[in-house]
Amino acid sequence: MSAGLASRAESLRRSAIAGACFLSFGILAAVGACLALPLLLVFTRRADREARVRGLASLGFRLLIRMIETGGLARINVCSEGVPDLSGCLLVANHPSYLDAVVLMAHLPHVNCVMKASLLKHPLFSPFTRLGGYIASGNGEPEKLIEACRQAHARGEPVLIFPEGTRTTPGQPLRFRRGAAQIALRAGLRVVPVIVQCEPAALTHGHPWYRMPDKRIHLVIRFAPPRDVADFAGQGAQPANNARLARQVTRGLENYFIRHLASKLHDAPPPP
Amino acid sequence: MSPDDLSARFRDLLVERFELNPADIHPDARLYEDLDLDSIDAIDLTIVIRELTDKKVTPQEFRDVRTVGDVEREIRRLLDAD
Repeated sequence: MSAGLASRAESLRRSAIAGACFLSFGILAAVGACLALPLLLVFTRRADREARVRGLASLGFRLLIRMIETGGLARINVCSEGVPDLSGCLLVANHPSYLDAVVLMAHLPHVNCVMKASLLKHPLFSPFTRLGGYIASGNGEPEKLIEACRQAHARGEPVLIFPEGTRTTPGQPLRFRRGAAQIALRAGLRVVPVIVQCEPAALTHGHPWYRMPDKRIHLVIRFAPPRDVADFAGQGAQPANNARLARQVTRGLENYFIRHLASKLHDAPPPP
Repeated sequence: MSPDDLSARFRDLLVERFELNPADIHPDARLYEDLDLDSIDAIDLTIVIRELTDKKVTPQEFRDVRTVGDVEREIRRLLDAD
């Protein structure tokens, strides 16, 4: 068998395993929504409800990751040593793959997340995303978004955001939208850069689950220590002008990520 | 303030607040597509308008505003309402 054919066969085999993993996960989510969620709604106090729902979603993601690892599809390292308490911080992550969001939400059971409003309407996931109190963006209600982040901060929840607004387009320069900087500045959150590296490219735009790579994916997620958002603005920043500061911070964050993504995959935390 | 002065003042504020290039600001420039404002900037845009007109305005009132020219017309309308 030629090398090309062997690689295609291996890729196909991995896609079949991925399909099985996601199908199982979909069934799990449907069962969870029909059985576990109603029980949880009956037996938990209203005040705890959102955190419990997020805990349940996180459990589901942990099971999905277990399947993905057991199936030999991916090797996953999450490196957060030396990073203190994340409560009330804005976790700013690049988003090369569908997998990184899954791993982050599995790793941080109580994390809140800013997500596309469309995910809050997704037929399978909306019972969890709505009841979990996740934060919607891109629905033309920026004040509500900022206020929701301020409240999450007040409750001590870490808030995860993907400043690209969608998954990274492979081969294109990294480009952040300004939402993350705007939220950190206006809701007063400290920033934790979360650097995600994934090789080879998988589960991204142009790499759906049925086109898995022909070898095991290596996903490394590194947490940097929390920093004041204004630290990313550099010299000459004007503290009184949030709109301008958001532009400077966004450029600073982009450069920070470009610098750290340029390094080879390794499991050490990035320097502050 | 004459309409021209008002326009000039408004454009200066756009440059200062949103790091825009003065050459890009003309009546047909679209706020979101051409000038790369985002929905959160829109909150600041209403603050700019409040400063210029001394009127309380909400982002909702500016939901249908698309271009620099639209905003300038709105500002004039607010001032003429006196």
